[in-house]
Amino acid sequence: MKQENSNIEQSLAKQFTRRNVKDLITKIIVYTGGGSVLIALGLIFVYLGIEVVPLFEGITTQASVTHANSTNKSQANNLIHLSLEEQNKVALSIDASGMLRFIDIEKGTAISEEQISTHKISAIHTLKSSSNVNIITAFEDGTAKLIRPEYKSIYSENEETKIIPSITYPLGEEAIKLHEDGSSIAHVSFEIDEENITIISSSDNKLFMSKFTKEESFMEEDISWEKEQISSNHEISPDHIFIDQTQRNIIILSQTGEFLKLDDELAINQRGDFVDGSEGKVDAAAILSAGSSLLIADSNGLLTQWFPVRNKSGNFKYSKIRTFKPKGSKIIKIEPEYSRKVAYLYDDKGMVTIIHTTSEQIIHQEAFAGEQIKNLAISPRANALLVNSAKNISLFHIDNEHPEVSMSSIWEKVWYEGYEKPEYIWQSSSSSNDFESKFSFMPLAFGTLKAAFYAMLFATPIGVLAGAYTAYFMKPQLRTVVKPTVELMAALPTVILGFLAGLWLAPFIEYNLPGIFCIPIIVPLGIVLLSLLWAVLPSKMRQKLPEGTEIILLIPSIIFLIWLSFYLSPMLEITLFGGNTRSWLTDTMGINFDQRNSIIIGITMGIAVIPNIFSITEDAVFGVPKSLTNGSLALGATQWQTMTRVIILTASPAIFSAIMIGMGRAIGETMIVLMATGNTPIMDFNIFEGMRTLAANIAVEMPEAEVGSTHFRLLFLSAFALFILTFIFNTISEIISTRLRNKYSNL
Amino acid sequence: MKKIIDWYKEGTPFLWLCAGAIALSVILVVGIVGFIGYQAIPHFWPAETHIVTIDTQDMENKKIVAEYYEEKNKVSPHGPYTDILLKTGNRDIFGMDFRWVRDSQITNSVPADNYATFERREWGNLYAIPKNIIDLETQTNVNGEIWPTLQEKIAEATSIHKQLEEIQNIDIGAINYQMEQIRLRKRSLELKDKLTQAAIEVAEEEQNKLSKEYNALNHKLVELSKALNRYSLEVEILSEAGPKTISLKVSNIVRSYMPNGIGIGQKISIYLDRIGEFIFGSPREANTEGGVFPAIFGTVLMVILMTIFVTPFGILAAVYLREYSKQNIFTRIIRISVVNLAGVPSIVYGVFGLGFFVYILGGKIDTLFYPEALPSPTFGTPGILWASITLALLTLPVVIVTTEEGLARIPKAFKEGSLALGATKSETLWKVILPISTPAMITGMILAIARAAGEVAPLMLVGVVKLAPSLPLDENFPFLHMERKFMHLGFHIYDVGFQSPNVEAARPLVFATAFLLILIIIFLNLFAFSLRNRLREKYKSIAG
Repeated sequence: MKQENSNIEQSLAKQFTRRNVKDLITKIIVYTGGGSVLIALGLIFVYLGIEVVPLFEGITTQASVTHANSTNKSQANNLIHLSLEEQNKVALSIDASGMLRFIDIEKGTAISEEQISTHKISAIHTLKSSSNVNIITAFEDGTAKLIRPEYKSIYSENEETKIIPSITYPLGEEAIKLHEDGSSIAHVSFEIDEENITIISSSDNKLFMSKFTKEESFMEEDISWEKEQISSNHEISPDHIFIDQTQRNIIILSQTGEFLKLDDELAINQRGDFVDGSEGKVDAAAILSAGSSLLIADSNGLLTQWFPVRNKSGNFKYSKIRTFKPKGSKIIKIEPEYSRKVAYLYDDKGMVTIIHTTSEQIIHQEAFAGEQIKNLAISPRANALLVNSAKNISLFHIDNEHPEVSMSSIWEKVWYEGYEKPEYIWQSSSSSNDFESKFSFMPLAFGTLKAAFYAMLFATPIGVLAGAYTAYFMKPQLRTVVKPTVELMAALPTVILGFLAGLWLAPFIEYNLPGIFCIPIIVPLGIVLLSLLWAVLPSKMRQKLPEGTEIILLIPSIIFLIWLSFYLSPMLEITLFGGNTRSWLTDTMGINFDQRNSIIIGITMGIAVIPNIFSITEDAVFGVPKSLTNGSLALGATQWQTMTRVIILTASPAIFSAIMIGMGRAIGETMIVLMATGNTPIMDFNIFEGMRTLAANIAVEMPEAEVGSTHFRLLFLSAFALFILTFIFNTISEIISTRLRNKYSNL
Repeated sequence: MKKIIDWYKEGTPFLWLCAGAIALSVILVVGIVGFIGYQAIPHFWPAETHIVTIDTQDMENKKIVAEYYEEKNKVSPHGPYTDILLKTGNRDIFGMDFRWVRDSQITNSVPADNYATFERREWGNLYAIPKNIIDLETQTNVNGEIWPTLQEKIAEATSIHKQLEEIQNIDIGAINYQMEQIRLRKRSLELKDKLTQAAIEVAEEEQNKLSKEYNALNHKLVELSKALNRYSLEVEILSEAGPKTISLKVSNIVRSYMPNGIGIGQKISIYLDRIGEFIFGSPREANTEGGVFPAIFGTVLMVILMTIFVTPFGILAAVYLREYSKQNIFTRIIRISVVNLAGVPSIVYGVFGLGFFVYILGGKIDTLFYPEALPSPTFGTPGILWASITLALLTLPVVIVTTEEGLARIPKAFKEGSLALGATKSETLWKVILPISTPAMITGMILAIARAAGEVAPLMLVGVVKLAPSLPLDENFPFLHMERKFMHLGFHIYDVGFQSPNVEAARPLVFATAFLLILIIIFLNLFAFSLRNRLREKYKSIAG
């Protein structure tokens, strides 16, 4: 007996533990499963944020290699050129005596040396582009050499990549004579493209322009250069000479800031003053990469950017675009980056200031060497900096991925090179290599709001009125059919709505414009008229018809009224708009007309939004406690009075939240906008033009964006913004609905 | 008069306006679905052809054989007129297969009774009178009555076509796949420094064997295509310079019929045949003709994969939120957040999927498991796996919310009763709660499927393509290729409707695709809706 008992107990205990284990396992599964889902959903927020953060992070710098200059002091102090190759392993230095050296940065020793001339170098100019570096070295005897360093990488599996530097001479190894009179070259500048090289040089009193045009014979290898030279006396004593990318504009700048702009025949077409105040002097000047922007640092402590702007008469004149005030003392040199609009300025105390012109920001200031800097070289990939000072030559790693992004460049008007005035522009890519991306969010944000506005304009009245009517006046049997039918609209794939809008509705509306504007007048008027007819109908007849006949009567009537609007459309078009509304709009009214315009978006996206608004409004109105309505009716109010003064008032927070939800959906809708507009990022509220929204922009550009680039991250930023925006909208409306529900239950 | 004042005072006009709003909404829904159906359904009907005489400045009284395709009412300063779109076919001869004319320019139109319609694999429709069939091998005319012989030869050519396709896609596809596998295996060994001479020899032997197989198949292909191109049909078309005889390869004909001469029965059979081709065929002519089978297949497979991911996790999360977590403010915040995630634009999920799944997770998987294929990515590029996971994330809120709603509706007494009888929490969950709420879970799943099937924007970023070279499911091991890109009905609509060069020709097909997609989605939604309703009734009766 006892034995049995304990047996039962044992088996019970066993079973109990097994049950406990099962219980525990289930608990673990539910917790891990549920938890991981919540984490995954949270991850969206976190990950989008992580991708966006680097945009707004400042620059980071890190010292890498330093070599003392004590052993070869004389060379280090006389350097007139210093540049880096792409992998930041080899540097090229040229000193005033004409000695050219490739330096291994890791070891600090010379890899190879070459004396390029017996003459002293009297002027030098470096031209950087994303594909290569060209240097012109001009000598005392009026000759010059064009040098191009080339770096060959040798990859091997086990060892580090080896770089073999060499020098090539695009215009031949022989020195070219720039000054026929043999005078010393005091200043030199040049510009180069596939076919032409133009060199501008000056002696004490004369300006020379030498043009080289490529002559290719049938044999590919045989390349010769046709030379053409002109000269003129210069009218101001030049301190800087520049030629811009087009090889047509020459800028001569005196020390006092006076300047001349000459054309490619050396005729003056603009003169003026680059520096304010009579005392002001030019400390340093440089032309920015890939373009025609001129940066001038003056003795007033200001840095100004200038580029040619077309004026009313169609001529290009250099104009002051923006001004920076870098802290520090006298700037001795401006070193631009290879392909971006970034420039490094350094002053006589060794302070380096990094600026980005279009985003109007001083990105960073740092005294890299701790003493005066003699030379500074930027890596072609802009990820390193080689600094040469009296004591040391040192390499710094620079992490400056997104200098072009600032609050002002995203949200404010920006004056880009080649434009007549500051504008909001979104233009992320182009076929040209030297293209500067224009990242203004304004046209996209504007387009998003514009699309949402027109959609809500269409959807709100219909959704709210329909919801209120269905909940309060409709008979229950009808309601159970009508409500799901309208809600089915939410399930329609937006790609289908977009396709209908773009391919069918847009051309239809284009040919029936007057009709579409008739609808909002004719249809409501017609309905009111119909209700009047209904009211004057003998009450006997009315009573014979079953209740709820209105709605059944209304469906064919509305179809008829819409048909009537379009039937009237051609007549209106002929009598009022000369037979072609579209050309009447553009010619007489001066309004641009796109076939895929905001009307289309308003209607189509409105259709997508109606069910959301309808559904929430309907629920809220239906949930209004019966005691309230009964009370109102008992006090003698009519149905309509009860509706407007009691029901709508009580449910108004929910109606507001319905509109918020609808707005959230309209803001993020992608396919409809993508298919039913021209997707041009314009800033115009015109109902006859399209727009580009944030969401459509992502869909268009994301597949082509380079991973990790500024463009890529900005698209992430727009996704993040959409996420936050809709999340806030939805949360607000959710809170409102919850509160309202509590209020109802209290009533 | 009093009536009218009452009418105004009682707010009747406003009431009617409200009713108008709901009537308009209903018109919109029914109208859209109906309109798409109206555009899609007649497309497959064999249209009658007419000899149309057109009189314009550049062509005086020219005759063309054409189908009436579409009419558009327009207005000019001189009054309204109608533009008529004629489908003239014969794109290889005219350079276009559609022509707009004004109604006033058509001087005469008679049925083109002896003209046949030829649907071709290339160049669209041809309208012509069949003259005779030539055997190119013997250079002689084929005897017999022309029309039945032609149908016979077309049937022959179609079956050869099928064989050719089978060899090309299945057999040669398999060989290519195996070749690639051998190359990857070699590369993988090489990366691990284990590529021995023996291994190389084994690989080479296999490669030789495969290339022998390939040669045999190729030989067969050549034979078949000879047989395929054996017959040619001489037809007389109506060109701008009058009747003209051209030759048409029988192998190029998909289907031919005399649209004016056949009875209703035959028309229905052609109609059904064309619908069959649309659903089960592959696309032709840059997706503007033929079928959408790969797109249906891709959509279905993607949705199935998504369901596998989303259902268990969604249910677990709902159970966690409702049954396991403490009902405090924190849980409420989570619940609101989950509801709100359903309102986050789908493109945001696409961006997340591309950045996180494709570039980060996919990139990691490639370096860990597929180093031999690098630098060409395996999972580090958009594909069906990432697309289905992204959509699973997108539809998670739907499943969670619906399931939770179902769980919340279970009367408390059930749970408490079970616990009071000594059942553990897990037993209560498995034996009481989950069985009762199964319909709610199924509802959530169906709603998720309906949402996912219509979603396009995120897919454009994470794996959909306009033309996938191979289906993600085939007979090569491991059968399901989750890294492959796929086609999708929704994207098909976008792509063919907006990126295709011949929009007029493609439009009916896009309407048909849209109608198919709408039907699927409406069906799913109605199913979920009725399921949910039945569920509510059931709980009401239980609780009562």
